[in-house]
Formats: sequence, C-alpha cells, structure tokens
Amino acid sequence: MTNQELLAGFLDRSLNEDQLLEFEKRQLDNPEFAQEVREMVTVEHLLTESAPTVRYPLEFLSKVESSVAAQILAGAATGGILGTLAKFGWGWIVGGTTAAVVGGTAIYVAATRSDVVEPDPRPATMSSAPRTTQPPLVEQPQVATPTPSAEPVVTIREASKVDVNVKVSATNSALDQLRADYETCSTTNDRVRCAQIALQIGRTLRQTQRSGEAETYLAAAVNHARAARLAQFEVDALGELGLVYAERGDGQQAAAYFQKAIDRGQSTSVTTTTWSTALEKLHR
Amino acid sequence: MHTLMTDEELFALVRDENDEQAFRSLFKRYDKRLYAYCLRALGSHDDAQDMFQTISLTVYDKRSAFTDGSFAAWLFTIARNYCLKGLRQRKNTTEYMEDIHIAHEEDRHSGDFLLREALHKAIASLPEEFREALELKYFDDLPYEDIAKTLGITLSLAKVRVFRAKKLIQQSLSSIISELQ
Repeated sequence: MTNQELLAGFLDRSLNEDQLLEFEKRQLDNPEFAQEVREMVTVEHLLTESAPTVRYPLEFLSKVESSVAAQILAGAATGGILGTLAKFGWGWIVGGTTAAVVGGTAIYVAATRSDVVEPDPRPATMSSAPRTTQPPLVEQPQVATPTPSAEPVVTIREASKVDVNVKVSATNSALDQLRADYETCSTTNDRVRCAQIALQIGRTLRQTQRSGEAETYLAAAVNHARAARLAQFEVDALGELGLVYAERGDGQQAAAYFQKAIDRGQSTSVTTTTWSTALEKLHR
Repeated sequence: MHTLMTDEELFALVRDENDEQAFRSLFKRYDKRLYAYCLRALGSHDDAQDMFQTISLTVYDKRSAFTDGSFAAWLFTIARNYCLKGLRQRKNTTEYMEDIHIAHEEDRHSGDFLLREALHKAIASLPEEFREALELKYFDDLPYEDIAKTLGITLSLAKVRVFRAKKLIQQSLSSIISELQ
C-alpha cells in the first residue's frame, strides 16, 4: 500500500492490525510523512468539530412539521375513505329506476393524485433538474363513455352487487370533517394547518361546483399560506382560484390568478407546471 | 417505540399507514441537517426556509416512490436536486452569503477562530465535486454509501473525493497548523 492509501485507511479507521503496524513504521522512517499525518489528523478533528453554526429557525421548522403532519392526518381522514374506494374504481349506473349498467363499462376512473408524477430518486448530475413537484390533487373523474343521464351512483366493484351511493356521502362527510378541523385551527391560530385545510376544502368545493364557497376558502388559504410563508400552498391556492374563475367563464380573472401562481412559484422555486399549462389552455 | 426503528421503517409507516407520529419522529431526525444543507447550498435563511419547506412537502408527496434503499440518501438526493435548481434560477449568488457569515460571528471569541476561519475558506475554495462530498460526510454526517448514492458515484470514488478534499485542506492549512503545534 502507498503512504496515501495507508493514511486514508487510518483516517477512515479501516486499517487492520498489520496495516496499522506498517503505518506506524512508515511514520518512524519518514518524518515528512509523520508531519503530514499529524496535519491530516488535525484537519480531521477540525472538520468533525467545525460544522457551520446555524441558528435554526425552530418555530419555522415546527410549522413545516405541522404542515406535513396535517397532510398526513388529512390523508388518513379523507384519502383513506376515497383511496379505498379508488382502489375499486368509480362506476356509473345508467337508466333511472331500472339502474341498468350499460355494458358495464360506464366507469369513471378513480380519483387520481398528482403524485403519479414520480420523483426522480436517482442522483442528479450537476446539470440535471429536479423532477416536477405537484400538489396533491384530486382530479375530477374522467369519462370513459358518453356521459350518463342518471344521478351518479357509486358501485364498489368486486365487493358487492349492491349499489350504494357512497361517493357523495363520503365526500360530504370528509368535507364536514375538514370544516370542523378548519374551525378548530382558526381558534388556535395555527396558520399552517389552516392554510392546508382551507386549500383542501376550497379545492373540494370547486370540484363539486360550489364556486362561491370555494373562493372564500381559497382566498383564506392564500392569506394563511402567505402569513405562514408556505409558498407551495400559496401557489396552489392562487392556481385553484384561477380554476374557479375559469369555470365561471371569467377568463380575465382566471388568467390573472394563474399568473400570480406562476410568479409566486418562480420566486420561491415551487414548480408551477400545472398553472402554466392552465394559463396556456386559457389563451387557446 | 419509534426511537428504535430505522429511518426506512419509520418512512414505511408514514407511506403505508399515514402514521403521523412516525413522520414526526423521522422529521426530527433530519430537520436540522436538512435545513443546514439548504442554508449551506443557498446561503440565506429566506431561501433555505423556502427550500426546506418545498423539500419537506415533496418528500411526503412523492412517498410512494421510495420503496427500498437508504432513506437518507433518497432525502439528500431530492434536496440536492432542488437546491441545484434553486441555484440555477438565481441570478446573483454573491449577495446571499450574508447569513452564513453571520452564523459564525459567535465563534469570534473562541481560541481557534483563525483556524476555523481558514478551514471554512479552504473548504469554500475546494473544487465543487470535492467540497460537496466532504460536506455530506462531515456536515451532514452521511456514511460513504449514502454519499455515493446522493452524488450518483461509486463508493470508492466517494471515498477518494473526500480524501482528496481533506488533502487539499491540509495543504492549504499546513502553515497555520504547524504554527499552532
């Protein structure tokens, strides 16, 4: 082994007994090498002791922790119900009182989350960009066949032949829970949790065409997120407001909100692909 | 109960069972290291906070993508990618270094201030690939295996980079160390 190999092994504590003896011998035989070893040991000690002192913003770290924890709790409360249903797929029964299923194929695709955009777990090179990050979204179901005329009734496929109207009640139940959570967090002035819940309520209301209420909650989400410095939530709430206006047919206001979401995202390194795409579609 | 669990076991509970307490335990293991990483990479508390928050939310959003391997390596790979993106988007980097220098103000009265100051200057002047490997080893406390995964290099190359970084620092500090010995 060379002196440098022995030195590297010594610093990493990976030398065996024989190698250690050889290492000692070379230091005795070579004063310059011995001095180099002493200096390297000093550097090693300095590095171990000299991590930059950081004044951690403990309150901020705690807020972020609460924010993600709130998502987990919300996921357990709502994603649990909807997620379970999603595993089986949404179905429509067509035909009013006869409830005849047309070909058994009038199926709505289960609610999809944006995390189908997988992160890149592979190490990046210096020139590579991080993969897209998207807020968790529950998109409206996609129609696989012509729109049915009857009220939507969810069939839990594979589980039973009994049709149950679960979708609406599950959504309302989850919404009620979220509203209760929002009231609770409002009283404790937990802006992080308020932002997260208000955004989720606003998004759900928009998806169920209750745009007036949706706007109120989304505007509240923007304010909470801004106060708590939660850029991701602020961007998402602004974008959702854009969708509210777009669905109302107010293209000008919609574009203004999409642009705000994009600007805020760009200034905070939050990905805004969703809102850029929405803005492009609006201009077409 | 969570104290004895590995990072990967905790994350599995978060991913598969929406276990909030497991998340909090895991978060506390990494929050300061991750924040310090962001601050080192970006140089200002404002940017570090935005980045820390983005990374924290992303890790949760993308939880289904992590199925095996080292959680620390996965976390720091994501952090590195986002910080690199943040740096690319930034037009002027020099104005952002203030917060880190302020952080060292407390060291001014310690006996080895000069040596530490020289050390940090030496680290700052290292070639990027060496500096990054060295900081992951000594400041983020990652084992060589995780450094290799985070940087996308072999284990032996990770060891070589860290060693060469230390050699360059030793050469840079040699005269100061000799005076102090």
